[in-house]
This record gives sequence, C-alpha cells and structure tokens, in this order.
Amino acid sequence: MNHKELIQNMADELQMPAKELNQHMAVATELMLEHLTNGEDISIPGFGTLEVRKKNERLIVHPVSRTRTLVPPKLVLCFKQSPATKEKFKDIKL
Amino acid sequence: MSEERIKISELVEELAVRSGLDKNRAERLLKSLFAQIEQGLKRDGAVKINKFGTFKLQPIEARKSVDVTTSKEIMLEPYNKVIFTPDSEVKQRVNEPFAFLEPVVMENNDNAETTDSEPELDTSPTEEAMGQNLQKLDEQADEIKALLSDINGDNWFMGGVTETVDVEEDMEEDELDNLEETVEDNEVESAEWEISVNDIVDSRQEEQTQGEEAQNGKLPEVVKEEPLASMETQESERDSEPVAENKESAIQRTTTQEKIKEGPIEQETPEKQTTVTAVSGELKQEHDKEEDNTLIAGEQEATPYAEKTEVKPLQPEPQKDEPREPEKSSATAVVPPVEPPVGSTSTKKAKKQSGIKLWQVGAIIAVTFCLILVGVYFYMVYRVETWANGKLEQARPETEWIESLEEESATKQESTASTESSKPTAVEEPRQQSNKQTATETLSVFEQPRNYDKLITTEQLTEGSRLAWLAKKYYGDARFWVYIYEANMDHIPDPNNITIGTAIKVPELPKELIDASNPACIDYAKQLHERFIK
Repeated sequence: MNHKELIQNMADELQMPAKELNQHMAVATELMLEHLTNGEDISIPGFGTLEVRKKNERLIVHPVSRTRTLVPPKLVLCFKQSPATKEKFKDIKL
Repeated sequence: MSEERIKISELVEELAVRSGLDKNRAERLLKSLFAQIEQGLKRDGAVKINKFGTFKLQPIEARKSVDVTTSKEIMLEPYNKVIFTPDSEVKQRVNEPFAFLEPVVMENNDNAETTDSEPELDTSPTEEAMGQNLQKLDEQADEIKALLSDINGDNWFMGGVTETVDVEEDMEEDELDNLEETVEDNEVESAEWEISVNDIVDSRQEEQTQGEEAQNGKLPEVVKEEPLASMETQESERDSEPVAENKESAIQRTTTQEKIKEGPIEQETPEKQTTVTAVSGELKQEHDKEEDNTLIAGEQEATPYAEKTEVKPLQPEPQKDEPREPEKSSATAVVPPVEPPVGSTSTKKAKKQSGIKLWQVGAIIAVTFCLILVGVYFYMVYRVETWANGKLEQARPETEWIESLEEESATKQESTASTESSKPTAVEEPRQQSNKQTATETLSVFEQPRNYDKLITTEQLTEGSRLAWLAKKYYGDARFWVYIYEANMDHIPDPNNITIGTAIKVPELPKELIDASNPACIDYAKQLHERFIK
C-alpha cells in the first residue's frame, strides 16, 4: 500500500479531504520525529514502539583488500513490534 | 531504549495543538493511521508513508528451540514480523548528533598484521642464544641417539625415538661406554632428573670437584629446556634414580669418569662394576643394563665413532654421563631392584632390543631390495637382448619372448628352452631353430583370424565409459580396444560413438596378442586402430 492509497483510505474513514489529511499527516510525522530525536520512544498500542537506538562504533575489515575501517557511531530509528502484533500478522501468507 | 515513552494520547494532544484539529479528530486521525497501516500490511505486506518510512511484514521461518520450563524440544511456529525502514531524510535527521563523523580507514593494518603474525621475532638475545645452543645440542643428541640405536638396537621404543634433546648430554657419555643402560638413562632426561641431579649436586658439593658442580649446574639450565620438548617423563624419573645413585658414589664416579674418558670401553666396564658394587639399591636396573651391554658387546666395538661424537658434547655431560653409565653397566653386582629404576631399565632394555631388531630388519630389507633390483636388471637385459634379436624378424622375437615367459605350447616351450638357455651369442642358433616355429607362431598370433568365442566378461556401457577404458581394465593397455571393437563389430557401427547401455563383449585374447610391454603387440594394435578409425 503506498502513501497515496493510505491517505485515501484514511480520508474515506475520516471523511476528510485528502489534501487536508496530508497536511495533518505531515504534522503528525514531524511531531513524532521531534520526540524521537529528543530521545523519547513512541509506543503505539497494538502495534509496537518506535525508538531511536545508538549503534556503537566498530572496526570492520574488508575481506579482499584487508583494510581496516573504523565505522563511527550513529543513531537509527527502529521499530519493535509488540507481542500482540505478532498474533495479528501471524497467519498471513504473502 | 530511551528514558521517556510517549503515548499516543500525548501525541494526540500535541497534534491537536499543532494542526488545529480538535482532540477527537486528532485522536481519530492517529488511530485511523495505524489501523490503515495494519490493513495495508495484512493486504499487501507493506505500507509506505512519504517522508517517514515503510512498514513491512517479514516472514520468519519456524525453528527448533527448547522449552525453558520443561527442557523439551519445541518447535517455534513461523510468523510475520513487522519491520520499519525509515526514509533517508528521516535517517539523517535522527543521526544529526553524529552526522559529522566519517568512517576512518586504519593505517596500521600492515604493522598490526606483521606484529601479530611474527611474534617470534621478539625473542630476546639470550633466548635466541639459548635456542641456538639447544638446537646444536639437539643435533648432537640426534646423532648420538642414532648411533646408539644402531649399536644397541634393543629399544622397544621404536628404536629409541623417545630420546629427547635432554638426553643428548647423557647420550654422549653413554656412547663412550657403549652401554645401553647409560644411553637409555641419558635419553630419559627430564626436568626431574635434572632437578634431582641439581639437588644432589648441591648436597655433594664437598665431595664433587668444583668442575663437576659447575658442569652439573650448567646442565640443568641447558638441559631443562630440552626436556620441554621431550615427552618422556618416565624416563626422567628413571634417570633421576640412577643419577641419585651416581651421586651417592660421587667419589667413585669421579674416578670412573676420568677413566671412561681416557680408557677404552672395555676398561670402563670393570671400573663401572666396581663403582656399582659400591652403590646399593639400584641393582636390578644395572643388572638388566649389563645384560644388554653384553648383548651389545660386539656392537660396542663399532662405536668408536660414537665415542668421538660423545666427546664433542658439553663437558658437563660427560661427567654426568660417566658416573651414571658405570653404575648402570655394573648391573651384575646390583641385587635389589628399585621400582622406578626397574621400570626405566626394562623400558631401556626394550628400547635397545627393539633398536637392534629394527636395525637388523632394515639391513635385511635393504639387502633383499638390492637383490631384487639386480634380478630385475638382468631380466630386463635378457628381454632387451631377445627382443633386439627378434627385431630382425618381427614376430619371432615376440613369440620367442612370450613363449619363454609363458610356455603356452610345446613348440613354445622348445623355443623358450632355447631362449632361456641362450646367451647373446647363443641366441642366434635357437633363433634360427625357432624361426620356423615363430613364423608360424607369428602368423597364428597376429594373422590368424581371431575368434571371439571366449569372453572374459560382458560389460554394459555406461555414460562416459570408453572402449579404451575397458581395454585398459581388462588387458592392461588402452590401445587394445581394437580387439574389443572387433569382437563387437556386429553391434557397434562407430567405435567413437556407442550408445549407452550397449552390451560389450570383452573377449579373452591370447596373452601374446595383448602384451602391453611387447612393442609388436602395440604396433599391431595401432594398425588395427588406424584401420578401424578410417
């Protein structure tokens, strides 16, 4: 399902024009990102949690050239599903 | 993974504030959002949100696991995992605090690798020197051991392989004495021995000469490193005991040592005996050793070389070796066996005995091999002669030779008799005699029509098999495939292209026809080959 479709469905459900909905969506995502960049997790019931995790720096060795590289640390956005979600999507076969 | 957790309710409030929606609408919006995501995942397995990321369903396979409570094996069912992949913009934004960092290629790769791979280069000079010394000692010890094993040959330890570097020093001394016992004792080197020796040395300082002490003291330093490489702790124990005994007769030892160094082997033995008598408690070992020595008496004479090599080794070794050797050799006087020494002597005897046996066996094998080589040489010469003679008349030499080898028929026997008894000069006469025979034989072997009634076997052609391979298998040479082809000509149109599963008869052919070593046979097969391939 792409974004467009998602918005359409939501618009139908909310009876809101798609354009307006898009704007609200943008606000919502921005809001979430703000929280996330502040180091706060967002937990969505029946779904999971969005969180920002830190990946430590590490040494990697290129197998061919055997050069060692130091990969710097970074922050990544992760999603961790809740146990309830597991049951929801368990039997789906794609 | 952070300190604070934001709930949807909070988001709702903030969204309401920002977007201007009322709370209800905001709440419904967010709920609808996630409901739709769920729907999308169920339907399509993926939901993409612009400027945010993609939610996907990742199938996880079933896997075995263990129930934590019952410790039984259980099977975890397969399921679908919801994963989220953020957009690139989102990634950058999230990583802003670390955005300035870049991967750094380490420049010390080579250095690190070299240092890791070559730690051995960091040996200190003293260590290196010690190592070199040890190597020299090892080499010397190996030589001595080899000589001793040849002499003694009674080692049941695989020819005294158990000898270690440690034994070197002792070995040299022992060779002088040509005493298995001493050799074995020396071989046994071990830390224990050295330690015990050292202890005794310390205690016997008054008795021993300073030189001895110094030498003995040196020995532990050098020899201790050698024992590290050796695997014979038992022997060391044995050595320790004889060493202890030696220590006891320090005075005698010194005397014997001196004598041993100077006098011949035979002289030493009586001296040793005298020293042995003075020693008590190690009788059995020495007794056994003496027995071994007597056996080796004859071999001892051949040990002048060994003696010389023995002289080479470190001086301290000879001193130590000699005292031990005399005691061991004078086993006759020894009565009560000491348990540990007994074990060592018995093993030493066994070593000597096995050493002797190995040496003898090796000699016998070498001699027989030489005889075989000579026989083969003469055979080849004979063959060449007969073949060369037969070259004048192609078929004849082969038949003659074949006949001489196999004696298949009466006529052949005659020719073989003639050929067997013939010498290069005499070959001509029998050759003439057998000419007529061979002429017919020649015809019979190559020219006579071959009937393929007798079969060795029938082979089913499988994928990838070839007539040449069959010929190699049954006749010894792939070039004789022509005969197999001839035998199966009726159902093989093309020798190069045979259908899989064809039953190939492998005929039994006269041996003179398929002699791989006979050039005439090869030539004839080649002729047939050319004929068929065309």
